[in-house]
Amino acid sequence: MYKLLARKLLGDRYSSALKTVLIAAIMGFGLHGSGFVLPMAQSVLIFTAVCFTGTIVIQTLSSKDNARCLRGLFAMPHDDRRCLREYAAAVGAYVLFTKASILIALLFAFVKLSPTDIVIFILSFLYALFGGFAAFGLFRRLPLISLLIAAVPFALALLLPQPVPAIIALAAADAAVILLFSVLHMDDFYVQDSAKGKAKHSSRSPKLIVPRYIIRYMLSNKSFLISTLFITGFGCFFAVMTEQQGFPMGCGIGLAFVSMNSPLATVVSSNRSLDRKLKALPDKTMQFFVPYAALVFCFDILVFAVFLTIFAIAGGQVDSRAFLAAGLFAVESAVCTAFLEDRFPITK
Amino acid sequence: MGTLLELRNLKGWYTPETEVLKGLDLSLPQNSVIGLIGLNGAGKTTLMNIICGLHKGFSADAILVNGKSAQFQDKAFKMSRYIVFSEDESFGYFNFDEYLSYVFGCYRKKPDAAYVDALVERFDFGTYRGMRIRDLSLGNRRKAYLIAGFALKCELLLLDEPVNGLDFTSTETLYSLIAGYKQFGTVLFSSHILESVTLTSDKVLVLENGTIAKTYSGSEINAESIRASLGTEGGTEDV
Repeated sequence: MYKLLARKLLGDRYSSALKTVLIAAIMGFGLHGSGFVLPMAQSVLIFTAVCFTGTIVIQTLSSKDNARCLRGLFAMPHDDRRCLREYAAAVGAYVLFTKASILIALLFAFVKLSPTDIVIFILSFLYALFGGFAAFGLFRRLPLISLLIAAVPFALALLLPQPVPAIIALAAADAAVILLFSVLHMDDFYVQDSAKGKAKHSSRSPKLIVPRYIIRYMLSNKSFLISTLFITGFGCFFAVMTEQQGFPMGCGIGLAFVSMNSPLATVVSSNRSLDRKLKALPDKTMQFFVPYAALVFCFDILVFAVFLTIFAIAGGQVDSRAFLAAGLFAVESAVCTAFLEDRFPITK
Repeated sequence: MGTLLELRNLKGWYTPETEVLKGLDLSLPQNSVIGLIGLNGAGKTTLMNIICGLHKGFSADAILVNGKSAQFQDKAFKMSRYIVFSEDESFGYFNFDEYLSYVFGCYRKKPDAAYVDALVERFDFGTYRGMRIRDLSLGNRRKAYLIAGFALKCELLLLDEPVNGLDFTSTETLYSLIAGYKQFGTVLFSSHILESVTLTSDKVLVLENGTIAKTYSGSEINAESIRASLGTEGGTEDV
């Protein structure tokens, strides 16, 4: 089980994991040399570690590609406890080496981390991993518990600003989610295909078909929309906290964070068949990627509007520079997303 | 009858040590039906993917399209061919009409509505044309991609294992459409079902160990001789 999933998630002989760790190490050491240090409160560190890791854990668990991989496993007799442990180990290794390593590199580069901060980060990572498993596994039976698991790190970060109480509370929270994880079964992680849609009459010459396709893709994957809301909320919190600590570019950093909307940026990467078909058909750039970029731009503008509204309500300063930054980030995000999905889709 | 596509000494590989196609020569006449048959792992899908510009690990002494030197990625060649893959889950959030509209947009063509409707009727697909492709069964999804392929009327239509997943009547419809495609262009289709090539093809190529081991045309095309050349006399269930 571990080998099967690790090969899928981390690449043959851990190739994609090693590549990402290497890139992260080069990036971390390279940027560390710039001497640029960003202030980061303990609460922001907890938020960063839990939100970033937790979102990826949930996305991995709900991925249709993984579901397909697990379907074969469910058809055979298997040792439930051992499978679940190995599943958690594979997902944990995937998140740590291919995703969190980039975050760790950025923290190493721009934040002066004390040993206490490192302990808080490790505990937050463990909470996100096991809490993500527990929240996902319990969601169908006990959705309130899942919501509670999601709310705990926010409460800890806001209510316990001192490091020692925060570490004790985080350790206790880790123990609680590991306990919840230990009562789950592999069945709790079986992702079924969504219900089949009914036939609808549509025009024989439909318009705006690519935006329509991408909107359906987003709406069919509810976790993508939730993750977008989560990223926006976290970006706001991060921006406000950064400005309160006297760093004047909080709004810009928040916008940059929100513009990295991974669900919308993986329309092609998440579907190997689509990537192959686009390559086989003529004129993919004009027919697919230009409308795709336009939709990403519109979506980003909408999300930025929500971000700036919440940011202003939370006491942040929204001026003409913020609107200009929002426009520029939307253009940058749309162009980069479409270009990367066109030329370098991540199809494992 | 001229030659639509000619390949000389085509080699294809996934890793340099494992050559799948080993110096294959291929000539596809215009307006003809060519069946490509071979056992699993013979290289049928690899050949299709190379022709579509999807597989990068290949070399060829010559690639000639209508007698002129060309590359598989050339826009003009792309505009003249369409492939139906053996496994396809692309554009799942489109329904059939949206998919058709997108594909015709790529080829800068307008669909012949009457012909599309006729194809839909022949494949008994009318009930499903408003449903999202991802919600269709394997067979109906295959029908959606096949109808789009036949409706486009490209100069070269590539079909990779087109029979898989189709019911009995749709398979017969498919055979009749393949055989009749000569008025629009050439069909190159791969199969491991012997019946599908013997009933439709002008020429049958037997792909074995990465080369064209045997070519049959006209009256030579019969199940017994092809089965013999594949070394499956006494038979496997597929051929």
